[in-house]
Formats: sequence, C-alpha cells, structure tokens
Amino acid sequence: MRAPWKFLAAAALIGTTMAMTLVGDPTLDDRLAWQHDQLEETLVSRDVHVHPGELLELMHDDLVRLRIVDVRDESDFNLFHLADAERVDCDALQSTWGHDLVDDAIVVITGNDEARAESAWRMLRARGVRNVYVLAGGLNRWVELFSEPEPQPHEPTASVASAAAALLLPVQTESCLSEEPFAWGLSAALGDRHPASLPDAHRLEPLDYQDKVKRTVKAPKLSGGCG
Amino acid sequence: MGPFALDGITSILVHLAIGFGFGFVLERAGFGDSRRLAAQFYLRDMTVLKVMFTAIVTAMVLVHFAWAIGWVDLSRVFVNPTYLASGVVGGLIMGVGFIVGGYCPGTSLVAAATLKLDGVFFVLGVTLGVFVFGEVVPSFWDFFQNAGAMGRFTLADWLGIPTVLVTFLVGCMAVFMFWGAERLEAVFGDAPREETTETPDATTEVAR
Amino acid sequence: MTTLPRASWNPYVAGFALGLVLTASFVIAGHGLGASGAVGRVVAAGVDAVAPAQVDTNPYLAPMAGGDTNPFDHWITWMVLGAIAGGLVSGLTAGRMKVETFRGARITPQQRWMFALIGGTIMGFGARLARGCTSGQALSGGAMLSVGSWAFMFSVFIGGYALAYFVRRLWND
Repeated sequence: MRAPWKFLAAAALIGTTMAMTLVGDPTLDDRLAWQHDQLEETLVSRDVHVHPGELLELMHDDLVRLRIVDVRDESDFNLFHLADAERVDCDALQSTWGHDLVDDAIVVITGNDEARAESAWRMLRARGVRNVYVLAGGLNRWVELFSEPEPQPHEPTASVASAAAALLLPVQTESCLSEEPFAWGLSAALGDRHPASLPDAHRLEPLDYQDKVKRTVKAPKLSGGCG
Repeated sequence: MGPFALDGITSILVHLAIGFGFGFVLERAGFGDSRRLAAQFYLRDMTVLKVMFTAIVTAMVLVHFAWAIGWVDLSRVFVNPTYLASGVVGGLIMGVGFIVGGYCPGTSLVAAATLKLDGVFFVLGVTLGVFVFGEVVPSFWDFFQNAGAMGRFTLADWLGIPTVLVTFLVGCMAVFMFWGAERLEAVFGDAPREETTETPDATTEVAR
Repeated sequence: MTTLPRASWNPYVAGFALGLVLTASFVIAGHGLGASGAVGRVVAAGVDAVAPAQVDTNPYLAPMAGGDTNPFDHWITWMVLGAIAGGLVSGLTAGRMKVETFRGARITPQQRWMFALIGGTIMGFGARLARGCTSGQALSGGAMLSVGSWAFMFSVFIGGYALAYFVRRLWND
C-alpha cells in the first residue's frame, strides 16, 4: 500500500463511527445523569420558578410566544386549567413533544404543585429546550391568588380517587413524579372557562415578585457561523 | 460539560485564538492562492475538497464523540438553521462567485493578509456584494426568511436515524470522496513542483 | 500547464488541523467558524454611519446596527481579526508575504483584479443569501450535520463546476 497512513486514518474514521453507532445516541436518562448537578443547582436556586404574577404578565403579552404545558392528570385538567394551556403526558415530554417549538418560545410547566412540574422541567432541559420554567406554587397557588370568591378547600374524595388510581397505574418512573392533588373544589368542571383561567391584568397590581423569564433568547444566533 | 457561556475579555481572547488557528491553517493549506482554489473546479487539484471534508469529518467525529460520552451538551451548540431555498440559491451563486473570483470570504482575508492584490480586490467585492444584499433583501424578505425554513434540522432528523449512524454514513462517504479525489487528481492534475524559498518569483509568472 | 507550488501542509493534515480548530470552537464557544458575517457587520456599521435611519428600518441591518447596537460587539469580529493575524503570521513565516497577483496565464493582473472584484461581489451577495460561506455554513454546519448546510455545500460545488468551463480562460493556460 502506497500510503499506509491514509489507509489507517480512513480505518480509524470508519472504526470510530462504527463503534459510536453500535453504542447509539445518548438516551434521555444518560443526559439527565450527566446534567444532574447543574439541573439540581438551578432548581434549588429557584431561578426557573416563575411567580404566578409573571406568568399572568406573559399571558397578557401579545409579543411573547408562550406555551403553557400542563402536566396534571386529565381529571384535574378538566376541572380547571389555564387559558391556552396544553395538557401533555409525561411520556410525550420525554420524546416527541416540542419539535415544533420556535426558538424564542417561552415554556411554562404547570402542575398542581411543583414536584411533577420539576420532573418535566428536568426532562425538557435534558432534551435541550432552553427557555423552560416552572410555575412557582403550581395551580394550587394560582387559584388561591386569583380566584374570587375563595373556593372551598377540597375534600379528600379526589385524593382517594387518585390514590386508588395510582394502585392501578404502572409504577411511575422517577422521571415523572406524582404530586399533590388539586386543592380546590369547584362546583363544576369548568376547564378554561373559569375566571381564574385568565385573570384580568389589573390583578397584577398588588403583586410583588422577581422576574425570572429571559425574554429575548440569546441562543439562535441569526448570524452564527459565517453569519 | 461544554460549551461554555463566554463573555467579556474571555470571549474576545477565545475567539481571537480560534480565528488565529483558522487563518493560520488556511494559509498553510495553500488557500491564500486563488489558483489552487480555482483548480478544484477543473479537477486538477482537489485540495479544497480534501481539506474541507477532512475538517468536517474530524470535527463531526470529535464533537459527536464528546457528546456521546457526556462532555458536550449538543443542544447548546449552534446548528445552522435550515433555509433550503435561500441556502441552495445562495450556494449556487457562491459557486459562481468562487470560480469567477477565485476565493471565498475566509480565504480572501488570508490572501489579503499576505498582500495578494487579487485577494484585496476580492474582499472589496465581497463588501460591495454584502452591501447590495442588504439594500435589496427587503424586497424578497419573505422568501429569505420563510422559504424552506425548517429551523434546527439535522440529517439525523431528516432520515429518522440516530445521529451516530449519520456520522458513520458521512464518514464512509468522505472516504469514498477522498479516494475519488485522488483518482481524479491522478488523471487531470499535475504533480506539484517543489518550491524552494529562494525563488518565490516563479509562482506568479508563467514559465513556458 | 502551469503547475502550482506545493502547499506547506499535506491537505489531509491541514484538514485535520482545521477540524481541530473547528472542534475547539464548538466545544468551548458553542458555535463554529465564520467570516462573511464580519463583512456584514462592517457594511452595517458603514451604512449606520451615513444613513442610520435606513439601518433601523431595514430588517436585515437592524438586528446588527439598529438603534445603538454596536455591530462589532459580536464574536465574529474577533474571530476575523484573529484569522487575518493567523494568515499573516503563516505567510510571513513561510516566506509567502509578497505583493503579487495570482492569476491564470492568459489574463493580465488588471483583468484578474476586475474579475476578483466581480467574483467577490457575487460571492458576497450569495454568502449573505445563504447565511454563511464555506467556513460558516459548509464547515461548521456540515460538521453539525445540518441539512441546510449540506444542501448549501453541494450547491456551491455544483455552481462552481457548472460555470468552470465558461471561465476557463481566467485560470487555465
């Protein structure tokens, strides 16, 4: 062979990529493991926990591309959910959801409280969605803050039902934690027709909070590369 | 885990260093010479293809290997968004500019830096072309922004296969292209003559 | 036929070195290389100096230089300055710093300058239309397996090869 080093280089190239192919792409679990410390640090610092007031601001802002992702059970969702919220199954969050996300979209995950929303947040972050946040206090707090008159705290029937359902469901993976039940009783399942699904902007006035959401996403460099 | 959020003086220094490596290697590869770049399109000298594809494949394998072992968060690495229409049309136009002018923007900077007058004129041309583009693009803004716009869309996404499998296929294709390039050079090219540093003049005048 | 002088480095070696630079850029800075974008910023700065209102209303120039945005406050400025320095140092140490005009044997230097200017103009327009040139789109986008970048790369080669016959007098003996 005239140029053995060329042959060796080609073999190294093919060999390395073949080995990589046999191992396969990193899985979501791999990525969650690698990013574990960074993710936990962010969650503990509460940098991504958005106050209900800030979410309400975003909902009223026409210029913002907001995606509200509701990770609660279907029964809770039907009872009450935010205007324009989409209910998404945890499984979908691990793989398919989000392929149509525009670069400057702001994603806020809402649960009844924070546990399940944080699991979902970890998954979306590990998958590479950058501008994703968790609703601080969940919808339990949202309803407490924005609805009038004060609804009654809910009797345990729902929690009995969900506990019973939990026995029947397959064991939840650590990716999608279970969470607190929805805390409020409503006279009927209003879905997003409840006044608290989209409170008026004037409800913001008495509220005081820190802004956490990054409005202009830095990532998609219009002029990346030769640009 | 890379990449890192750089700013301030760190960003400046890192980018100066990367740029320095970039320009240095281009010049060492002989890309400060428009005749070599143009020769690619006459199959006489396949350096452009060899350098480009070797660079692409090297970076592709190293970056994706680093990703596969958890050293790089690929989602934070910029992937040029796909704009099929403007990309293909722009590419064809660039091909024309390449063979007429003999450089591309990066190599023309290197040529100008080494005092090649054709490089200097090319850089001026690029500036003019970019200016014209800026003035004219509002009239076809919708085409520019939306035609064939698919966002971050990789070969793996398109083919529905794992990214690592794409690296293997691209690697195989590259090896095939290198083999083909060597064959074409053997047929159409000439063996480059040795150049000693004492006689640099011979490079620009035709010795017939 | 006039033969080219030998380049300093074997093309595969040069390609490997370029690939290492590209890799470093990706894993440290999170993006690839670039060149034509810097020219874009120079143009934006120039137009901004003469007709700032035009910059603000032009959707292409506005993100770069609209209002009081500094068009040079971007990594590509430093990368291009570094590239010029790198090319200069390499040329200097290899004895290739010389005022000269590379051209095919059948045209004069002046004709070559004219075609370089014309080719550069075409290239500049095409590069901005494609949102990048060989370094930014082909090398960087190619290594990251972007569909648009690969389509772009093939288009460049097709465009060049298609026209090569018609401009052969510029390069061939």
